[in-house]
Amino acid sequence: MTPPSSAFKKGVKKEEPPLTAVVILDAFDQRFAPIQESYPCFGTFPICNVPAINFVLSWLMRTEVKNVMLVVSGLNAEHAENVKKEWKLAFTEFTVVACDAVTSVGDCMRELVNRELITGDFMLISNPTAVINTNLVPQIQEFRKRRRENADNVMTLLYSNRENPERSLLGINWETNKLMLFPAANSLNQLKAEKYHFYEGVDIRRDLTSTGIAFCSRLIATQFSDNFDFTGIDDVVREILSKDDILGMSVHIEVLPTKDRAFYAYDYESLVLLNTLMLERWFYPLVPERANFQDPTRFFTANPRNLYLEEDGEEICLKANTWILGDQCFNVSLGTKTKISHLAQIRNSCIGSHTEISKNSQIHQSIIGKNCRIGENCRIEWAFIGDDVTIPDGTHVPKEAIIGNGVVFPKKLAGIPELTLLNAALNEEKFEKLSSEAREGCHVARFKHGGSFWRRAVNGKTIFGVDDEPSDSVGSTSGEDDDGIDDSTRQFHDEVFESMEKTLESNNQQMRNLILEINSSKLACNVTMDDVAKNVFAAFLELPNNEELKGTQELIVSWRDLFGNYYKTKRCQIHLLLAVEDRYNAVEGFRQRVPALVHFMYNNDILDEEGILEWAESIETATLKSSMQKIVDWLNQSEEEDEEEEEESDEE
Amino acid sequence: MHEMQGVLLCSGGGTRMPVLTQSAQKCLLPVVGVPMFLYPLSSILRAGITDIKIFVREVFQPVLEKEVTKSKLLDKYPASVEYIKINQEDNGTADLLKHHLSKITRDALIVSCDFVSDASLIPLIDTFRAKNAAMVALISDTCVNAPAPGSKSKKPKATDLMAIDEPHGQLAYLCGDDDFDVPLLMAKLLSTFPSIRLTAQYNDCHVYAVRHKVLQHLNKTKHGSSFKADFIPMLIDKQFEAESLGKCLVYRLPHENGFVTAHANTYGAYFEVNKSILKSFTRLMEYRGNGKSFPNRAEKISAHDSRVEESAQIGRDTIIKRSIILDNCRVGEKTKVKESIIARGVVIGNGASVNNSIICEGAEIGENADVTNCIVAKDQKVAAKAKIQNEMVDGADDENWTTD
Repeated sequence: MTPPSSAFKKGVKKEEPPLTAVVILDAFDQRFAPIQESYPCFGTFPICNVPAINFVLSWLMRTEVKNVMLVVSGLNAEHAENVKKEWKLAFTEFTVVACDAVTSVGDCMRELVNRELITGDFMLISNPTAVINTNLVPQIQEFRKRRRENADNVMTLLYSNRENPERSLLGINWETNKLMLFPAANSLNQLKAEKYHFYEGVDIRRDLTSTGIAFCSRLIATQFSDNFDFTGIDDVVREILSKDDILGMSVHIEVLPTKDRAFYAYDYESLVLLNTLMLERWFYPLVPERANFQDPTRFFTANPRNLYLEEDGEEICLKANTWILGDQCFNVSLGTKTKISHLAQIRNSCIGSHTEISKNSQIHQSIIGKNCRIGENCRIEWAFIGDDVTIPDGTHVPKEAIIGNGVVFPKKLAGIPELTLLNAALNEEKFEKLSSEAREGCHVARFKHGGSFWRRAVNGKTIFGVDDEPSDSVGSTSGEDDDGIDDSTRQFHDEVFESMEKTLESNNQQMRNLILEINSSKLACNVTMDDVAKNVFAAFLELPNNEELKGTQELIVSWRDLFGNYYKTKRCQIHLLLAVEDRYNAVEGFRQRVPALVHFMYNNDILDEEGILEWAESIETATLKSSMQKIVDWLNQSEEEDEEEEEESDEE
Repeated sequence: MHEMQGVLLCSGGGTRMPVLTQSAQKCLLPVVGVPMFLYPLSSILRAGITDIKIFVREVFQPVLEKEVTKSKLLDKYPASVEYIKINQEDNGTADLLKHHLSKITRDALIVSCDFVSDASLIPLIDTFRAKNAAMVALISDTCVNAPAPGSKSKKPKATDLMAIDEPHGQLAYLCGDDDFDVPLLMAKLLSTFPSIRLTAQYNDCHVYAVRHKVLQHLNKTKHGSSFKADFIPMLIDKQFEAESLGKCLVYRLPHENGFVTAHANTYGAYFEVNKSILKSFTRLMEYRGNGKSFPNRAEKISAHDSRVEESAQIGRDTIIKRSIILDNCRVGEKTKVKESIIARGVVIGNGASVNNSIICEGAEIGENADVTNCIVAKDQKVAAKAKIQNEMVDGADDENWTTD
């Protein structure tokens, strides 16, 4: 018997081309500004004295990936070329894509789409420190299977089985692994479950950590180019989930089995942790001494107690290296020509080349750069120290300190926790979120809105370096929980107000940019159209120009594009008027201006009479109702006149 | 099992089945001719509990007592049964228990009278003991249910919405399908559990093992609270507070434990459990005997998967399939009874056809009538040759079909 012809067809099915890896070599997070001087390109940041990108490329070598696209901002193109020089032979195709003036992963993706470099499914590694110890074969297979089953299964995010320190939540369908719930950027540990989530059977999980790796179809890249306010892959995920019914696309989650390990660093805490994990060889076969490909000048020896020593290529000889460090040291990576006292205690740390550490100093869980001098009896725990830093004898560096290049640590500052010290003042134009002040011969940097350098998320609220999320909501919400306004609506209002203030200060008040900013705030806070309509105008009324009617009128005329954009429908207009009503109730000085303002907006075609009439019906405050009565009568009258005119014309 | 008391709540009015309960209390509704409350009573007895409190309205107490004696359940499983009379004012189930808390002196197995099952509750009690839980609830994903007769709607299976910590079976959230109106905000739950599953697979069977000391918190409930909808959620919430009372767990009824489980508080569930419980009926209710059989081939009566009581009279050439025909019914010749419940004293005329319907006590179906997917209430008459479908025949609008 001959098998049916379909059986043959299956056999000759076209082999799918291997995924292209898109690696973003930069981290667009201003929290890394203090270390920019030593490591302008995040991908070259040393983990165990090995540039982080080397780890990424060496695990990529083990996967099916043949083509690598290294995306880098224009300023760091040189670093990318160096990486290419070392690694190009490991892959069939190795492209460096330098994009000028990019400030986010989103910008990079848009650039790739513009240059038409993305032609098929790809693996997006949006962080150059993402490490993983498997070859991803089952995961990529799963992704392909989903793609075949349904072309709308556009993305599979890779997660590892590890409780995440930020306590962020995910909701996943437990049968299909489809992502059902994804938290908003400003509250990672909150999700709202609807009835259908129960029917679908959703697992809500806190015990998963993102790996920074996503398998994407081409459509994901176009999502970035369609929405130019998207900064990262999370924005795309939120867009797909919130527009499930329109886009009809789904995102899936693939969780690595517990034996596989993955990690990526997004702030200083995770960098130190990644460094320790790497030293402890958790990602075997991804280990420091093997993470070089074609760089004969670097040579690592791995010794007992996880001591790694880098040596000059010319001086390699067989010797017992462990005597360099005392018995109390373990998990240490030393650069070339370091001078370490035998009496120093170093654990879980990485020391750069030419650094000197004197006796009786303790260094735990820290990363220390090149050419540093650390005196006697110092204590350094959970710290990040740049190049050429001097720590005087007997200093106790506070925990979670970040010390930039060339700083001589002033002892007087030793008591301040989470200290960020710099040698020179920050360029505030370049890092608009940061500020610095001079103290004790150094400069102390901080986020303008508060928030920690060391950790990305505090209490589930993320303070991302790139997008415009004012972190002050952390402080302000706690007191205002009782007034019944949703946190996110409140935050939306504040953000809009801030954007408007900025626009007001700028010379060429570009409405297009303001509208974009408002839209991105809307996405970030996940508020309804009604809330947008109401809060945009409420924020508008709070602007300093609107103390007097004249100022308001001028602003309305010059910002008419804004109103044209948000107040086209009657429903939105009513919400505008509700914002007016709220302000009427709250601010006394505003009251007598209301009728004139409404009249003015009617004359300028921002409000239609239907909206005004419907709103006037619903007013609860008696004084306001009576003061609006005049306009209502007038509108009704003109409406009747209109009708009469029409009737007359009909008669004709 | 002396450390536990059984509490059987027979106070429910059966508000979800008005047509059936207008003449009878829910706990006395017949399931295969046996008052419903005897099933949960037998479940409690089979679990080895010997101290049982039955909460019942004063008027019905003698009836219940008589039925218990008649069933001879206590002969097989000796136990002391105390009837606790309740007033009409206690409208919530939590109120009943609250007012008579002094009667409950130990950990309690609280069972509602509409729990009809042949499953063993011993594993549930074992879980309760072993895990030292504050409360263990019985949930099942195989509760029998079917579209209710008397209406066209194929209502989706009514279930309960739960959030369960999968590895340990800890209950993090419980809400009736109908009571869920605001989206559940998940922040507090997840600070305790690394992962929880939201599911609507299971039905809460209204069987709870509860610690004695936990029951004392009933005093904190408001007047008119229900045990299931108010007290149990309160216990679940308490788990996440500082002065926790202990864990609330679920016992997921495994499929090998029992053939049939039902929470018979709706038409659909009540209807279906009548037919499915037949599999284990003779084992559960031995006193009822095996029912009538039709050995005489000449009569040409065919009965499959059905139970016909001895006192029922069945005419020749009748087909009975997956149905229950109770005492003193008179079924005419050449009739067809399929998937239906025919209660006591029903008269079905010759040539009639009854399909997927409930015919209540004393009703009459005329000759050659065709009743499909209907509920015919107590003492109602369906005219000869009438053809009715998807109707509730409860006398309120009967002129539609009796006159023609």
